[in-house]
This record gives sequence, C-alpha cells and structure tokens, in this order.
Amino acid sequence: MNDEETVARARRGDEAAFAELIRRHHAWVMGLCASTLGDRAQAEDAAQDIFLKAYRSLERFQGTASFSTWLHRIAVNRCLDLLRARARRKTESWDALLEDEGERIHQLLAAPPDEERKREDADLVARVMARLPPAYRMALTLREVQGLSYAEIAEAMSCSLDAVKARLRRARQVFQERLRHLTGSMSV
Amino acid sequence: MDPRYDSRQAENPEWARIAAVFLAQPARPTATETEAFVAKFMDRIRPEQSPVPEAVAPWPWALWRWATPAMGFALATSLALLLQPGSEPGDPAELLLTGGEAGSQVQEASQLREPTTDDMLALAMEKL
Repeated sequence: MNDEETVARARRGDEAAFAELIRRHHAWVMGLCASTLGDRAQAEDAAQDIFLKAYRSLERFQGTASFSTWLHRIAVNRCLDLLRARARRKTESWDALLEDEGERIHQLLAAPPDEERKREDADLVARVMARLPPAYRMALTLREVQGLSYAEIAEAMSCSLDAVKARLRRARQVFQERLRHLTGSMSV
Repeated sequence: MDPRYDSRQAENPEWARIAAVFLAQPARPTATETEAFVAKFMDRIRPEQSPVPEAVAPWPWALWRWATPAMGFALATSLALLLQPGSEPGDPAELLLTGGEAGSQVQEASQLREPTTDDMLALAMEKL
C-alpha cells in the first residue's frame, strides 16, 4: 500500500495506518532532527512533535504535494524554530571557539573520517555547527546529509530554487572561510 | 565511509573534508528503536482519541454532584417551614405538631369546670 492510500485510511481514523506512516518516515525525520539539533534526546522529542503536528493537521492535508514533501516541510519548520531559539541564546563566537578548540578541530579534519572518532568529537561538531545561521545549516543538512535535490529543498524550505542555490553556496563559503586556516595546512 | 565523500573529494577536496566531518549521516534508527518510537507516539495520541474527554464527566455523576446538596437543602427548608411557630392555635394538626406552648393552653382550657356549692358559698362570704 502506498502513502496516498495509507494517508486516506489514517484520515478515516485508522490508528494502525498512521503508525505505518511513522514507520516509513521515521528514519528520515530522525536523521534531519539529529543532524540539525545534534543532541539525540532533543532530536527524538522534536521528531515526536513533528509527527504529532502531522497527525493533528492530517485533515488539512490537501494531497496536492506528496505526503513525504508535506511531512518534510513540517519537519524543516520545527527544526528551524528550535535552531532559531538556540541561536538567540548562544553567546560563543566563531573566534572564541576556534581559539579554544582550533587544535581539536584541526585534528578532526586531518584524520580520515571514521565513525568512532566522530562519536568522540560529537560535542565539538555540534558546537561548530551551532555557529552557522539556522537557514544555512538547514540547507546544508538537507543537501549533504539528507540527499535532497535543489527542487526538493526549495519545497521543504518554502523558497525559490535560486534562493536554495544561493544559500548553499553562501553556507559552504562561510564554513570554508572560517575553517580555512585549519584546513589550509593540510595537504588535501 | 559515506559514498558521497568520493564525489565531493573530486569536486572540492577542502569542502569534502569539512562535509565528511561536520555533515556526516547520523546512525539510522534500528527497527526496535522505530517500534519504541511508534509505541511512545501512540501513547501520546490516545488521550486525544478518547470518545469522552476527561473534562466532561458522564451525566449521572455530574447530576449527583449537585443534586445531593440540593435535595438536602430542600428537605431542611420543608422541615423548617412545618415547624415554624405562630400558626393558628386552634388548628389540631398544628397543636399536635407544636405540642409545647399551644399544648399548655389546651391543657388549661380542659381544666375549667362548673362551679360547685362550696365555690358559690366562698364567693358570697368574700362579698360580705
């Protein structure tokens, strides 16, 4: 049974059908939440909120876009809200972070990317990612981690294709400029 | 290692290194984790689906909550009205119910009797 039929059943009050929709999209939603929010527990709470919002809004789902596109939009909006709330609270600047953790970041970038090392340095990765503006971080995550096309990102972020391309270009540029003196010394 | 790393490496090695570290794919949830997530979600929505919301109690209980004191008040008021003093003393029902003051009047009335010869003589002696 495809998403359309399952959604139709869920709209008629079939709990099992909605549970099936969660099973199909859980990995994607959790992936987005974990990539953007960093913390696993927070990511799970956010994912619960996203499915709850989808469940409560199911009556308003028109079916003009696919269920996954509609769910992606809900997920992106929720994660962006949380990122913006965090950005208002954060005080640590790029410069302060690079001064304190420059050596560790250099080691991270110099070493081949292996799973164990990434787990050990997850807090550092989260701190670096938190320096990026929320919209840049979201665009990068959707493209690089979640593997969406430009058109899919535009739909999920409710913006034009050109805006997506500009955001991605600018986000990569900011990231590279900030870390240039750490990556520049590496022979890659 | 992420298969996308190789294509990024060819296009822009510097960016490939950054993306591999800071934009790595998180671990995919296992089937058990997904089922636990679904179960938690279902527990969360179940109260919303209850046919009778908790805020609205079933009507017999709601009725008894206000009917019991109302009935008690009505009974107390009825008794107070029935036992209220100052009604007509001649009313037999009232006399039976009130007993006290009105009852003593009845008793006094029942004690009046016809004057005897001795009473008449005593009255005459007083006049002399």
